[in-house]
Amino acid sequence: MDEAKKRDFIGRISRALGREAIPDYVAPFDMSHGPQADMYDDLTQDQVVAMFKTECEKVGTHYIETTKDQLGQVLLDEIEKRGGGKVIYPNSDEVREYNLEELFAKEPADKATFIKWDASKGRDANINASQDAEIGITFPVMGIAETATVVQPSTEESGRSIGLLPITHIAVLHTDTIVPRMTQSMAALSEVYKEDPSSFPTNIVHISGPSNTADIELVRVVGVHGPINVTFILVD
Amino acid sequence: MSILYDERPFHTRVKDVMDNQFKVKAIQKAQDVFYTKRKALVEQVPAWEEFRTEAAALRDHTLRNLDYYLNMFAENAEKAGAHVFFANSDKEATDYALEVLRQKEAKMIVKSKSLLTEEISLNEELIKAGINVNETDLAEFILQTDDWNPPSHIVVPALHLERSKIREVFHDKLGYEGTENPEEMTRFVRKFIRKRFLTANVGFTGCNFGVAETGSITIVSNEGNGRMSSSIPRTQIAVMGMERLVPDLASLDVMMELLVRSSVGAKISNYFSLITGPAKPGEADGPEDLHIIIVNNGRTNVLGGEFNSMLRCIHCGACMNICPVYRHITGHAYGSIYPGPMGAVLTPLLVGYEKAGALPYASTLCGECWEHCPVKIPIHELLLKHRENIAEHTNVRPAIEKPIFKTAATMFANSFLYDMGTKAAAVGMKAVAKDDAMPEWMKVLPVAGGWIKSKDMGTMKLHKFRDVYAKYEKNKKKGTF
Amino acid sequence: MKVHFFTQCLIDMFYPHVGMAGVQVLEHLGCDVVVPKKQVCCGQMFSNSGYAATAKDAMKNTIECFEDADYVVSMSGSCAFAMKDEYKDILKDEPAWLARANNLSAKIYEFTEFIVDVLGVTDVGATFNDSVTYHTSCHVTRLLGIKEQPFKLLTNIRGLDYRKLDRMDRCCGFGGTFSIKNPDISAAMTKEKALNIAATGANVVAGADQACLMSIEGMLDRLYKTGEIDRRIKVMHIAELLNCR
Repeated sequence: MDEAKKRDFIGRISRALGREAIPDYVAPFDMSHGPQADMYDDLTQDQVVAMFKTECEKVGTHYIETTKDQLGQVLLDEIEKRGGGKVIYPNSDEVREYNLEELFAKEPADKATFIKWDASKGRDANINASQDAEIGITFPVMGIAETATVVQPSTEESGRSIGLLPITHIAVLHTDTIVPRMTQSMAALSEVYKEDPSSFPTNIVHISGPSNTADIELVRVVGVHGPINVTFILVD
Repeated sequence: MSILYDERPFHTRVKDVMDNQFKVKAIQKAQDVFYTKRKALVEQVPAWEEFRTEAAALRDHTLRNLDYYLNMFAENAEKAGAHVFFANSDKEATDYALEVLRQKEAKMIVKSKSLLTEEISLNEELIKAGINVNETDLAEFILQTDDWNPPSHIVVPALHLERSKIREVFHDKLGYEGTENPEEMTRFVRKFIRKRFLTANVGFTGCNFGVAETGSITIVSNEGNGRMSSSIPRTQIAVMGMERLVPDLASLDVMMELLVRSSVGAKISNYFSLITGPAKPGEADGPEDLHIIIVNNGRTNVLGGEFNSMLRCIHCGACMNICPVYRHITGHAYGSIYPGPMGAVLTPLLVGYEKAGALPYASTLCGECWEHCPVKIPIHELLLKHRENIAEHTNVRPAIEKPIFKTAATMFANSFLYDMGTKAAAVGMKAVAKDDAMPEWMKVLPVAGGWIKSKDMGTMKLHKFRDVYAKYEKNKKKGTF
Repeated sequence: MKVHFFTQCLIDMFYPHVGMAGVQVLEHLGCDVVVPKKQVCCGQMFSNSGYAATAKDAMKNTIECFEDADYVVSMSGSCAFAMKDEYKDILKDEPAWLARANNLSAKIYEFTEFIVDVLGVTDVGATFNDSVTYHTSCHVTRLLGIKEQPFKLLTNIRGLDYRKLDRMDRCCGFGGTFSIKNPDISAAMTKEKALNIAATGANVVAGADQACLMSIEGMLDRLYKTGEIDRRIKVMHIAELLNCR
């Protein structure tokens, strides 16, 4: 950053605001009395999860409920239903936790073939693999009930491209991570940042359904640049 | 595109639009759709007004401390590894972008939607420098392909083009052979642009909100081009207006509650990206370099002044979705990339009254924009302030206007002069009236002619209310009424 | 109760019968109505065109008219808004006048607001046997925040067959000098309003701001002449409806 340029630029702002220098301290804006502060306070986690599902239904996002034991099979069934083909998945703890690779290995190649995101292979290899894949699987860290949104960070183990380039995106979400609103999800992210700014994910995308547009005569068309199909698998 | 893309007189632009009924009908349909969807959603949020109040206060707080928060933003963005550049002018911004492209030896770029890049004429500068520019928002792609047809709305910029026209443009310019079905055309564009995303050297994006607490930028999109531009190319350049900050992550919750509902009548956009620095070493995709260009370009002239509240704007388009004037003249009559009520306030602030002095009069001051604005900008009051400035300090209005108003004002402040003047007028009107209305030939007259051309005008009464009432009062006293 | 009456110049010049209806409704409700002879125009038509300084004389004249009043009732919502809100702003640099503007601001009421909120009356005992639709003028509804009062009064008029107007709160296109400066845009807006009114099937359209009503009336009459609407639709100020017995 060009410090002189910055001083000049911000100096103009200070002067427009009627002062010579940047204030040393500004009392934070108090949001504790805003309407968001206590919205949905009275809901149980079951009700929050129910709200997530209702919102999915309202906007037409496909979701499947399952348990930890059944996840592997449910995932394979959904892959088959979505037409199979090449599937890209992250190199993350969840994959190991659910022994997914064992299951994937058993799947006949004419139904689906599986490619693991592997950062060590470099940029082009991973982006091309995602581009070639028909399906991408990710494990978002949170869900937001009010808008049926999943919160997906990118990491070394799970890149941006997985849930973006394939035609179908399957997101596996644990129901205990679903919060009522962005109020709670942002508070959680803020905690992560405060604990260690350097560990904060570089890209966190909130996903609330398939890519769409209404740019031509306001006709809604699903699937412009991002995935055309989205499935949320909710693991209890 | 620069801020003004059509510098013909306002009335010429209006006439052009009103002669194109497809365009007008398309905007009216869009208004009706957005109105219905937004209304239904807002009714589900009992605390909607409280959210608006909070958001307005939050924006004001940020603007009042903008130097503090910008400094914090820049420091935190740098900590996260981003390059921050402060551009006082449009030229400084585009020069910096070109320098980055030169260093990267970039030949092709992809771009997601950003009004600010239009404001600073980024495309023109890139094209001049021989860069292959690709707009990736479907509407903007259509407009670019149609030889940079200007936008008519800030959220859905290509609404003025019918599908048959879009098909024709795709056919002529891109060899498209499919039908005019929107889905089929969209799929064609998906394939066409996907290749560009995969090969572009640099992705340009705008920024909906910068977050001071973390140095993050955010991108709201439905199509996914914002995600693409910030995930696939090796370099990302984000351009952000200096006022587009929020203090912290918690603020995003409040702003997002309002932004998308106000904009298109949806609860949330399909994608909302929070980007904090470039990809870390070890990540296999995402930009290796993230440049954030923060732009002033005249905004310090607005900050802290009588138009300060305009800088609360979050570019949602709610004001044009509701404006009854915009409804009949579309974005094109404003001739500015910032159309509608917000544009009628902002454009004169950015380009001056000489060039945009007609826009503050393109309003009935009905206040519906203010009522729908998620950050409660009193747009009608700001338009009135513009009118005051124009009337008092410029020669933009016709020279005859001021003396006319002065004379009339004298008459309307004095009951005697008023009584004399209106009596004479009533006699005159009575003399020419046909069936108690002004005859149509009077449309040739100045001032009242425009009214008479399309609406009937009754006559002024020889016995005004004051005369009738005086008689009534007299009779009442006598007890004979 | 003594009530000072602000007529609005447009009613004075073009619609004296509307002014009389207003006076008579208030008298019927037991008010002792005073109509200051000195009053002319509230000045808003000048200030809304940007000529705030030019408007001052008209505003000061209006303030003087109502100096001794307890309550001032305006037949026009738009003028009431000017007196309630805009005078203070325009006269802010003249302390003596500012104090007088504040004094007026505290006692100015729009006609329907006064009847419902001050007199506490929602049934004035009127009867009107026809179908009526209602246009809620912007300055009444949005700027003064008077949303419910006219409807409380309308629902209690015996015989009245109310027809809801689609987008009743959308501007009619009058906008003061807007209708003169941008007549084509204004006409397009008023035409849409008029067609919406015709679509309700009502024989009468009412409102509480005569300026809007004048514009709507001009358009309805023209559209009837050109055959674009099938019937003559009568335009009435709500005071006229309330004065029918």
